[in-house]
Parts: sequence; C-alpha cells; structure tokens
Amino acid sequence: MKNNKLESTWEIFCDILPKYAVKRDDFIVLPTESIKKTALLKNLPKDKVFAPIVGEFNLVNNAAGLALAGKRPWIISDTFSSFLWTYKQIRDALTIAPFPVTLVIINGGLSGGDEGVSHNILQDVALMRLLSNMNVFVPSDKDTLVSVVESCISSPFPSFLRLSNEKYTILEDTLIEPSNSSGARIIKPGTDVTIFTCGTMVSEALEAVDTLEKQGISIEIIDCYSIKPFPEQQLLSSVRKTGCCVVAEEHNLVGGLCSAVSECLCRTYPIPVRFVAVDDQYVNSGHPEELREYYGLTWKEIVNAASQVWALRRR
Amino acid sequence: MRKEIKEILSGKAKEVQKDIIRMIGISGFGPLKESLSVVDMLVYLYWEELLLLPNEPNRIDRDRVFWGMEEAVPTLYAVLANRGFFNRDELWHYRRLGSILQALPEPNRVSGVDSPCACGDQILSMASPVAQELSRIYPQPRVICICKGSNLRENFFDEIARAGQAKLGNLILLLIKIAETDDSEKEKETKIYLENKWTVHSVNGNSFAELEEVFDSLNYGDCYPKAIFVNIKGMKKIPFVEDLKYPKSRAVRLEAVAQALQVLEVENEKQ
Repeated sequence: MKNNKLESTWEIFCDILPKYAVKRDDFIVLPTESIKKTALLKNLPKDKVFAPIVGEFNLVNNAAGLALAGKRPWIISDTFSSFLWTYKQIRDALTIAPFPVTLVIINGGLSGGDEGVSHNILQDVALMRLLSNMNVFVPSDKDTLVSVVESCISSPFPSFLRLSNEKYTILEDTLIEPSNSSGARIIKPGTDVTIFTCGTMVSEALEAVDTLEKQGISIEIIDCYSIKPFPEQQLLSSVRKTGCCVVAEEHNLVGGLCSAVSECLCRTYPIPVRFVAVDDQYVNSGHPEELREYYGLTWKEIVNAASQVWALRRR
Repeated sequence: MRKEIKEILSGKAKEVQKDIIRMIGISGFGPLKESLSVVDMLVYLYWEELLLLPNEPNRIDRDRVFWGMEEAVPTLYAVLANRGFFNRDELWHYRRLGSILQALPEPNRVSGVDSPCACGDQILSMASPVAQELSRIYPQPRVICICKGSNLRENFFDEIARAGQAKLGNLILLLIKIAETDDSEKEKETKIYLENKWTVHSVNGNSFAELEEVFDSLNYGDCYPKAIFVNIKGMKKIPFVEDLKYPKSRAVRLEAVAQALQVLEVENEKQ
C-alpha cells in the first residue's frame, strides 16, 4: 500500500480555512495569543479576525457574543490548555444555548511533546465529548478535514476540532472510500479484525497491515474522524463481519474513542475489543515520536492487539 | 418626567413586584430581595427607554439586553411577561420541570431574552462583540449589559479595556449597586473606566425621573462606551415569603404569598 507525502493537519487547515473565510460573511476567527504569528493569521483577511484581544479568558464569551450577533466564530489555540481553564465558560456559554462556535487546537494529543505534561493533554476528547450538544472531530488528512470543516460551518451546534502539528503520512493514494457525512470511512477493507481509529493513529494502523497479512489476518481499517456524533452504523456493519475490534487513538484510555466504541458495542453487539491508547496516566515530556513509542502508540501494539483479539473473536 | 408617565411606571412596577412575589411563592424557590430591588430600573428600561418590540424580535435595529444578574432573574421574567413577550401564565411555572422559565434564562427558550445569563465578566465579554457588530448598523442599536457592580474579577476589567479600545459607543453597562455606601471604592472604579475611555454616570435606580435624566444625557455619537452606576436602596424585608422554604406545603406558601401581597398593597397606598 503506497502512502503519499508527509503533511500535518494544521498545515492543511491553514491552507483551506482562508478559502472559507473569503466565501462566507459570517466567518470570524478568534486567535489566542500564540496563534497570532502563525501562517493562518497571515492568510486571513484582516476583517475576519476579531481583535484586539485582551486576555484569553474572555475569548469563549466573546465568541458566544459574536454567535449571538449572527457570526460563526472559530477559536483557535495552540494547545488544549486554553480550553481547559475556560471549560466552565464553554459549558455555560456555548453548549447550553447552544451556539455554532468551533474550538480548534493545533497541538492535539502528544504533538506538544517537548512542552511537558501541561501541554500534552490527553483528556481533551473526553472532556469535550462529555458536553451535551458539542460535536467532536479528529481528522486525519485533507479529505476528512474538509468534510469536518464543512460540517462545523453548517452545524447549529458547537464543535471541537483536534488537529496535529506533527507531519505524518497523507493517505490520498490509499483512500478507498471518500469521507462522507456519516463521520467514518473505510481506509482498507478486510474480513478478520476491525481496526477503529482516528487522527495520527490512522497511519500507524496502515503500517500494521503488512505484518498482519503475513500472519494471515485480514484487517479492516476504519478512520473515525467524528467521535461525536458517533458513527455507530459504520462500526456495527464492520464488526458484524469481523466479530472483533481494536480501537487505536492518541488519547487517554478513558473517555475518548475507546469509550465511545465500548459504549456502542456493549449496548448493541458485545464482542472482544482491545485498546491501543495511553493508560490512565499523565505523560512525560519528550519528542512526540519518542512519546508514542514509550506509551505504546505504534503499529506494533496494533499488531499485538489485533492478534490477541482475533483469537477471541465472536464466530 | 411628566407626572402621568411616572404614575404609569409606578403602576407597572407594582404589578411586576406582585408577580415576582407570586412566582417565587408558588415555586417555593427563588431570590426575592434582589429581584424586588431592581424592579424600578427594569420597568423604566422596558417601558420607557429601550426599543424592544415583542412582536418584532427579528428587527435588526432593536436594542439588546444582556442580563448578568442571576440573583434577579425573576424580575426579568416578570417584566418580559408584563411587556407581552410571552404569556403571563408562564410565570406561575417558574423553575418547574419542562417550563420555559428555568432558574436561568436561555435565549432560545424564552422570547425577549437576548443572551444566556452569566456573571459580570462573562456577560460583558458576550455583550461587547455584539455591540461591535451592531455598531456597523445605522442608527446603532444599543446593547445594554446589566450586572452586579461588586466582586468583579480581573477579566471584567480586561473586557472594559477592550471595549474602550474598540470605541463601542453603543455599549451601555449598568452596574447595580444595592445598598452600597463606600464612596472611595466607587472613586477607584470610576478612575478605571475613565482611564479606559469610558464615560461614567451615576443614578438613583429607584427614581424614574433620574433614570430618564441620565439616559437623556448620554451622547451616542462620542464613541465612548458608557458605564452607569445604578444605586439602589436596600429593599425593605417582605415578611412571610422571605422565610419560605421548599419543604413547606403549597397551602402554607400560598397563604404567605397572599399576606405578602397585602403588605405590599398597604405600603404602596401609604406612598
């Protein structure tokens, strides 16, 4: 299976967002201090940026106000920490009413590796998933990112978008099914094990294909770029065929895609499931690649998990 | 202010006060003292000052109200109902399961509510972008932000600075000061607003005539946001209802409401 060039979802985002900004009158960006010198802001028309900003704490309420005035605000931050300390405001001001505000982070998961534990926040998807009315997206490439941006623009609800500043393989050549409104797409069809994954772990799952094929295990990889709303039907139609599932995500084991899959399968179609995610712990500082290796977020763990779960599969 | 108008407003305020007592009495929950304190100010705004038409909610040039007093939500509900934004009968379902009138107002749920209810710094940061957007319309609709003028956090003053920089002449901040007597605090606060290019005014929130005078004196062409300190006398205690707690039976509560209304009636007659 051939992969394409290396690119980060943040770079793709910087490229596509200005196009939407020009097209839409209601588009407006609220950048945090750290975003102001990035390529995104240079590409955006000045009247599409809400300024001047004094203090990040008010950004969420500013966005709610802009939404009340008929805008579709995008709050863009480098890490999840800006949203962690305004969590109550996000809950009260954005999700109860609700308002169509999109929250974007550049360094999702372990992307902010060198900065240490306060920047490597692996609870972001869980915290956002908990909020009623909040949509949660983790795109893996340009195709899914475009689909996600379009759904954020048309949705009446707030959305959370986790991007990565880490360059990884873009999957255009290997793309079997284009992204769609369902929130998941099949990257590689197979019959023995379902690999349900998102974000950076999609390319790791693809790396696992050859080794598993050699072991005689045919895997079906599903890229679940919408964690909420959760694409139940895509998951169920795959596991009814394979009878077992591995969930791989760059997130804490609790509350993210692993939990979403478990909640769905326990309720509707109980089968053996294995997880490739960070155990419930805070992570050290280090280079993102190094951290992925250390915390077991690589194709090797996917291979192990798939072999184990295949032996236990529902027949 | 003409005597007839003053009489009409006093009559409306009396009706609103009665409704607040009834709604809190029936529900068994709710903040009474502060709700009754801000009645005069809100009645003046909704009947005399603001361009707010219940049957034209989508009118772009209407004024907007951002309510930041969680302690006085019943007043907002009672005023909106009496002003015709929704059926007055809804008031008797205040805080009940499934009712449109929950403990805190929601803009998509209650007609006439322009924003979620939040505390001072939050409500101002929501109101100022709306003022900024509406400032492009001519004539500029006003954005009235009402919040309690005490215990304000640093973020609140960040937003004061931002609104001053953005020259939001159509933003009016009403800072409610109930029974506050410390003038040195007020002086310090005034200085902050002036430094950030706001105009500062002070008014007796229990006087319709003074409220009219202050609002008439505002200059909307000057590009300065406006802060108005609304000084309100401490409300006299209303007996019976104040001591009501939820576990008491509904009959006891209704009896107390009747007594409280009677007390209010006698007081109004004396005035």
